[in-house]
Amino acid sequence: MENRKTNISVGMGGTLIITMFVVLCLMIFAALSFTTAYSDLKLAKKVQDMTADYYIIHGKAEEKLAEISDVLLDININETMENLAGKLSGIDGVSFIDKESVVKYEIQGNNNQKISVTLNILHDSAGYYYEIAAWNLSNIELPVYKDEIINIWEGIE
Amino acid sequence: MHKRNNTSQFSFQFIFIMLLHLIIVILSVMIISLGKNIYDNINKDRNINYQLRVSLSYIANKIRQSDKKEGTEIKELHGVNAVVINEVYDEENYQTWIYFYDGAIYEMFTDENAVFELSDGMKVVEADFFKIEEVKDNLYKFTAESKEKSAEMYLSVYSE
Amino acid sequence: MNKVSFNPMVSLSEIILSVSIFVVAGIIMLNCFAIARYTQIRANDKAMAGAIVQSDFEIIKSFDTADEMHEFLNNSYESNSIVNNTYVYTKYYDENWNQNYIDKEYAVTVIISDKNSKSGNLVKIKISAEKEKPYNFIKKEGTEQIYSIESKRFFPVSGGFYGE
Repeated sequence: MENRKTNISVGMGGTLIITMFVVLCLMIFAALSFTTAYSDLKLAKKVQDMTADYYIIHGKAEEKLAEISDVLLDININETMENLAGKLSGIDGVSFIDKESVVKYEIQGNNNQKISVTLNILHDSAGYYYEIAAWNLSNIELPVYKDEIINIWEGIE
Repeated sequence: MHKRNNTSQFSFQFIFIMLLHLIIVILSVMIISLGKNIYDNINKDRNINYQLRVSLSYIANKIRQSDKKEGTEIKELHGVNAVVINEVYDEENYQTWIYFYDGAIYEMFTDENAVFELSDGMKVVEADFFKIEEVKDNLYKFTAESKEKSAEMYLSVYSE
Repeated sequence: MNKVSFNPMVSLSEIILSVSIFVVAGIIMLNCFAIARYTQIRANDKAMAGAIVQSDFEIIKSFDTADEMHEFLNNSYESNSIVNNTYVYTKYYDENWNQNYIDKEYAVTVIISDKNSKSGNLVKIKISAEKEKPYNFIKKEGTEQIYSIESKRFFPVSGGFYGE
């Protein structure tokens, strides 16, 4: 009868398996960490762009306001409404509504944002002046939601 | 005698190598928990940023969109300050109330001067704390807090 | 009889190989973690800087005259200088975004320049937040701009009322 001798080696490859497992876990955590942080940074940059655009169009609206103010300063109190309307409408992008004595203009930005300004034109014994009635931020284009009518059941005839 | 020496040498090597295995396993566990902690911190920071940024941006946009005569005011509602935005639709007056309640910023769209409870509003974003103050007629201050980190923002309106 | 044998030489080379894989992978992963951490810090900084920069501009917007604006900036900013009719105001923050003129981690700068207008002051305002030292693991030298807005503010003479 032959004596069987089986050699069993202990721990062969165990360390390598542990190492591979650890490297895999670290890779997953590193990838998750980086994508999470990077997505937050991208969102922060988008918010920054929108805000910067808002302040740029705000600045342009202030410039237009300065132009309107310059025109009002030059106008004599005895001038007619037609003259006033003509001078104010002469400013690019500005419209004067006679009936309400209101000046309106809009400044559009690059990120689907616009500021709509409404000024009340008032006067006293000294001259004409403006009063800001509205300085609204709004979207240039609103999203369009198409109505989808899906025929589910037409009934039994 | 030779056999006995071999056995003790064998034991010493065996123990040493097992110790090395053990050290490697312990280091592996430590490195994985370090990685997990870093990921946890990054996630926590992202959530804090989200709460602070969204709460302040939301209120800033709401106020900028309604900057018109008597469009925005601060009122008290059941002991908390609320931003009230007045709007007119189809010749009817409506109000949007924005306030902080139960760990979140709530919004309530209702008829003018309607009576409602704080819990009736719609939750907009969660925040640990949100404070609304009127600094002067045309300047408001908003303070948002999330997990011990706070940010404040001032907003001014042109038409009161 | 079955004999369980232990081959120390094979086990040792295996350990050496494992450790070397560990070290190489560990260095690469730790680098990734560090970049991820500093990317998150950059995002945090943008959020905080945005709130501060916007707040200062909104406070400036709420004033009626340019003098009030300059008074506010002189009181709340640490240093100021005037170069060719351009006013520059700077204040410093520490790493937790608390105003601190000793531990200068971040700087917020306001640059004001006048534009001509007959009926008042049209001022061009640029407010920016910068990090004084570059972020670790992100290769850039010098100061890094975190947030910046540019706008204008018109201060009419007598608040829009003329001849009063």
